[in-house]
Amino acid sequence: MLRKLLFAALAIAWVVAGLAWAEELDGPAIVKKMAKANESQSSIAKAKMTVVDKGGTQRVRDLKLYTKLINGVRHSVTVFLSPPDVRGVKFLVIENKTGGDDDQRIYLPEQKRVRRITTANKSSAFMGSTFAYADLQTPNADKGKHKRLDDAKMNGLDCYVIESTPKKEDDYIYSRLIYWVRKDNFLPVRGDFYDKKGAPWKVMEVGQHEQRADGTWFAKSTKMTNVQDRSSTTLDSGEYQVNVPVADDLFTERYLSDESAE
Amino acid sequence: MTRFRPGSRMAPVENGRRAKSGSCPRALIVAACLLLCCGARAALAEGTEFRGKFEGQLALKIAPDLKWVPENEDVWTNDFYAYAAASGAWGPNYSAFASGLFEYRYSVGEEAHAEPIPELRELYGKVRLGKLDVFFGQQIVSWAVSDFSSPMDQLNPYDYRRVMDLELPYYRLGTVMIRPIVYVGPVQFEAVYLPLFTPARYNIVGPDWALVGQGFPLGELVHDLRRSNQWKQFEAFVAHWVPEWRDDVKNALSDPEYYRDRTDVPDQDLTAPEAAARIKYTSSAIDVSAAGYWLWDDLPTLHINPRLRELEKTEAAADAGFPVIPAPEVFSTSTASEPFALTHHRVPSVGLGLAGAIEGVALRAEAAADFGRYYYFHDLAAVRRDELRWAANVDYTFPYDVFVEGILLQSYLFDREVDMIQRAWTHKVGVVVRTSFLDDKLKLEAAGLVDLSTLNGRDWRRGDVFAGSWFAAPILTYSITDPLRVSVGANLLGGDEDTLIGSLQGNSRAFAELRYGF
Repeated sequence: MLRKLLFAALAIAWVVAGLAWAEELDGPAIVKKMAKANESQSSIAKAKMTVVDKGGTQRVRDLKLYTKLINGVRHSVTVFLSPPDVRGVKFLVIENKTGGDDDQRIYLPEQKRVRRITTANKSSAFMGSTFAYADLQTPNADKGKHKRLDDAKMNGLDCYVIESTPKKEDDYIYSRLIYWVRKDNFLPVRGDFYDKKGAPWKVMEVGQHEQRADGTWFAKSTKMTNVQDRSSTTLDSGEYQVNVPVADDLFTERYLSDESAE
Repeated sequence: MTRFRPGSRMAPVENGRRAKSGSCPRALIVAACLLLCCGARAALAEGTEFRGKFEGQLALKIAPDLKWVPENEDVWTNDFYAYAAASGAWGPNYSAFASGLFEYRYSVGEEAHAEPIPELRELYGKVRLGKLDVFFGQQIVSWAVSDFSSPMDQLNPYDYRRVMDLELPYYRLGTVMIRPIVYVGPVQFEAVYLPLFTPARYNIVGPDWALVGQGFPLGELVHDLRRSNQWKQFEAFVAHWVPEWRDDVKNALSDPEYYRDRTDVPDQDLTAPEAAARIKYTSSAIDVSAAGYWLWDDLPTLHINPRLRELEKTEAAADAGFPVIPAPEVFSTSTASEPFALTHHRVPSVGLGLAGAIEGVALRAEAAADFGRYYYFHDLAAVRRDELRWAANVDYTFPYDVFVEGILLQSYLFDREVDMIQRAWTHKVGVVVRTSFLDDKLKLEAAGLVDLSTLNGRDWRRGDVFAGSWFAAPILTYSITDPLRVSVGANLLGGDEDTLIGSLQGNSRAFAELRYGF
């Protein structure tokens, strides 16, 4: 009997503690967890980007993406596999933790040259897609004010709903973002993004999350729709491996200028 | 009959190509071959994974001149290009790359002419040994830091026949090199050994971008020489004493074969090697590179036989209006076989490059100091001088994805004398604007350059920065499908006819191009 009571007390304490913990999750905490949920020590992904313009014309871009955390700094290399006019172009980004410009370099095979570049305007379209450069970067939770709205269901899943606004106007390319974040794994299911004038601009819909054998999750398909011009881009992750060995050398000019490497 | 054979003897003065052939180049080539064999053996070992790639593009381009003056130049060119590249890697340590270009050019001027130009652009292998990469074979290597014009990019000569075809970047020529690179953290040490000299490629006479009769300095010099009293005296001398050579000498300055014999590979001693080295430091804040070069000047220098000047002295001493034809004892007929020479020279050089970014603004700058390149006086005498050249770029991407780049190009010639053709200072400023529309399907790029070197105070007061010379190249590209693109554009040149760019304004042209990538 005593043992049953003790067990019940522990169970109640655990549930209460859990509820209290859930209650403590405010907007910033959820956004940080969302950012963390996508983070891995390293990854290799092959992705297909299908861009559909407002006339319905479809264009396909194939990419290979390598990422790695080296000394706590996110390094990524995107290799363009198609179409022919960008095949062989490699794009290296080394995150700047201090909030300054990321270190960005691009290898242009036609010029046989690694060129240091900037993306001053993060709202620029990534390869003519509906994704902006900013959409493809890990969100910096410290640069926004995050307000937790009423929880809601999205696609049948229990979600936190978060409204984010920039602390400084230039910190985000959007004036307001609303995320639906799954409660069980903190991955976003949907995002509504508003332009600087406050009008709806883009809608991000995550098609399906899959859990790997090691327990981590990834989005199999993400669609970004520009509701203003009715264009859209779907990013399909093909082979997606996380926490696999990725050599540090991949994030150097040595790899970028290697014409036989992919 | 002794036939006048232009180019049958080598040039007399400081001809770098006469350098001795040493055993060192051969040893290095043998070493590279051994490396290749070892690499191939290891690469073909059982279980080694092979990855291969093949790609290319086909292009058809038509380019009519904007001024229809068919005398001495082409007014319409039609080009077909086929480019293909293949690469393969055997495991992580061995790889090879090859690319080739076939161009068929059909040009219309005073008469139509067709020219097929096959070209092996690159054929090289790479072996990776820990922190060391060794590249060997024919390569195109860029050490450029800045855009548009790069003083540090000296390893590959230019194909001056294509230099205006900016839409297709095939204006650099592959060069045989052995190139080890050692990577030590953020620093890379690179050495380049070039056992065979590759001269720039150009046409002396004929097509639009030929040196003679156009604005290139060498062409101007040949043009001036042809009209000089020295040359007239020389022709009279040959006609009198060696009449069977008369026509050859008369045609020497307009016969492309004359120059070709003297500048093409078989007539040069090309075993005198070239070398260069670079150290590059890369960090998130700044990239710094420093380089040293021990290369040949890839464009030749025109050296006039000094004895031709003696002819002019003879004329000056004669009664006015009656040139004196000297006797062969006074002025040797052997001069007739060597009135002038086009020779390449060793031009040591050092370079420094910097690249960084501040608040979304990319900054790039580089400079090179060339020691002892030949420059000309108005009387066509050539002397060695040192020159400093530098380039700086600033770029920023504005809203709506509008990329804007500012360009500054300057040079300074040390110890310039009054009668020299080259200015002490040259200043050029330029801008590149690039943007896209229709979800990246329509791309606009416009590049412009203005030469401010020749502007005087009056031009500045009037604000007429185009009084010197200028160049502009707008191009609009539409992607019909991903692999198929159509472009329309123009290469526009203008300004003072006494300037290099201005003298080429007859070549201003519009173009349309269809390109298919695979």
